[in-house]
Order: sequence, then C-alpha cells, then structure tokens
Amino acid sequence: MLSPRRTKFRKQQRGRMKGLATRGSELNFGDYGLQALEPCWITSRQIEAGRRAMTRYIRRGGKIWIRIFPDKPVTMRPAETRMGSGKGAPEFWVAVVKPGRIMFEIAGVPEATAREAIRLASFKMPIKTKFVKRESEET
Amino acid sequence: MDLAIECQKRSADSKPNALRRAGKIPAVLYGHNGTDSISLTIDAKAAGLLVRDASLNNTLIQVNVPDLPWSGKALLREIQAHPWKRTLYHISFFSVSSHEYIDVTVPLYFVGESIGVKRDGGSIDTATTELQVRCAPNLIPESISIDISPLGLGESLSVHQIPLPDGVTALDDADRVVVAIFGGKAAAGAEDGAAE
Repeated sequence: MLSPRRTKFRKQQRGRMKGLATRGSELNFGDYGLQALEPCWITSRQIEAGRRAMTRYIRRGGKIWIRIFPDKPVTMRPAETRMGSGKGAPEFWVAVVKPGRIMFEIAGVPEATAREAIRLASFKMPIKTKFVKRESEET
Repeated sequence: MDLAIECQKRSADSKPNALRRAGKIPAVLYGHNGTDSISLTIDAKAAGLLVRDASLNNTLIQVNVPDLPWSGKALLREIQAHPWKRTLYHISFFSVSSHEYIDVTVPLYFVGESIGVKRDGGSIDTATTELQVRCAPNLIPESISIDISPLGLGESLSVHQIPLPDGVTALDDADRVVVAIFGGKAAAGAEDGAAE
C-alpha cells in the first residue's frame, strides 16, 4: 500500500475540501482515466484495491498510472476512551481528492478493456466517478 | 479544416460571470499587434461548436471582430473549462497572420500493430502523444501518423525518426523516445510474481 517514507510531522489537521481540482484534472499519461466527481479522502487501501482490480482485469500488456498519493495521516482514538488526553495515534493514510481529479490512467489496451478495468476500479472508490478518454484518441 | 467565428469587443468594466450567465464566453486575442491584446466575447453556443471541431494549438480559425478594423487567422491557444462538465469559462486566440513561423503542437497517431506486440506479446509504451513543431501558418499538419508495425521487442522510435511533412521541423529533442515496445513473454512471468 502507498504511504510516505518519512514525514516532517506525524499528525495533521483535517482541513476542508472546497472547490474543484485545478491540478491533475487532465489526462497526462494514458489514453483513458478515472475522474472523481465528488470531494473525498481516498485511503491507501482503496487505491490499492482499485489498482489491483485493474491489473487483474488487463492481465498483461498496458500500463497503469496512479495519479493520487495518500500523504495525509488520519488519526483515531482507541475505542471506549474518555475525551481529552491529546490527539489519537495515526491509523492510516489518505489522499485528498477534489471533484475533477484524475485518479487512475491506463494506456496500451483497447478501449473496451480499459472501460471494463476502470469500471471495476470505480467500484472500489467511495465516490461517484467518471470514465474519461483522451479527446484526440485515434489509435 | 476552415473554421470561422464572430466575436464582439468586450468593454473593460464587463463582468465575466455576468457574461457567462447571459450566454456569452469571455475571450482574448493576442499576437496581432506586438504585445497588445483585445478582450472579446463569443456566443457560448458558437464557442462550444468551435471547441468541438478545432484542436488546441493546431487548427487555424478565421476570427472576425466587426467592432475592429482587424480580422485574420488565429490559433486556439488555451481553453479553460469545467473539469468534467466541459462548460467553457474562457478562450484564448493567438493571431498568426503577422508571423512567418509559429510553434504548434501536433497530435501523433500510431498506426499498425507492431511485431513486438503481435508476435512476442510485448506492450506499447507511448512516451508522448504530441509533438512540438515549427512551421509556416499555412502548413500546420492536422496530425502525424507513425507506422509502428516494423517495431520489434525492445525497439523504439525517436523524434528524428518521425516522418514530417515538408516545411515542418520538430522542436523536441531529436533523441527523445516517442514510442517503445517493452515487456514480452519472457518478462511477463517475472512481472506476474512482482505484481501479486
């Protein structure tokens, strides 16, 4: 699963997810992609599940790019503890995704294969998504 | 492809969001007179059709501005749109009439099935799908087709090996790889082990 090797600070504040993605909202590497339509935290487990679903379906051939990276630690408090005594321990990592963000890209496979692979990956995501393809696609 | 669009001059105090609500798209034209630029508006429907038919940095468009003495050919330099609804926010036109040579982006199409993929089970790695070229405004190629059928496993095509039309020169690094065939039956077994 994806996670940063080392970080400057162990814990982060939650932040807000206002607005649309301004970076990473175009297909830059592959011919087909999966675009987020809602703001969300995508966990490293969900990213890995999506990647695995795509890799299993396309078997060999083709190339997959993961365009998001879970670099935000999420802390949780142990169950049945009283309030206070500081912030909980980091539990997992998430990528902050805003609407319009391209999360996965695929190249080197026919459109039908890419569509199905991306459909399978979309089931692993906790948000509404959209299949996108390069406008000048004509291979 | 011949495309034309009618634009109106935009006053300095007009508000872009109010224009969009009124069914117009703010636009800008530059390159026609040194560093000067003109603010314009376009009908949203006409702009939508134009963006559908024209490609960025490639298609020449006849821009007519009735309020100005200028009219000429221009390229679409930038299109700002909503990330997935694709509703237009703003369009930039770059006039080419006064330029002898211009730098444009041409899409690359890979045709044929490579031997490395067909026979040896390799994969195509397209490092780029566009090429930066320099040419006269009337010689802009719509696209460049590259035949990849002779490419075997482990072989690649670089920028200097791409057949370009007369009067067109590539601006990208001559040794930059455009497409390569990698993997194959031998590498697949090792890859499977690593992936799972």
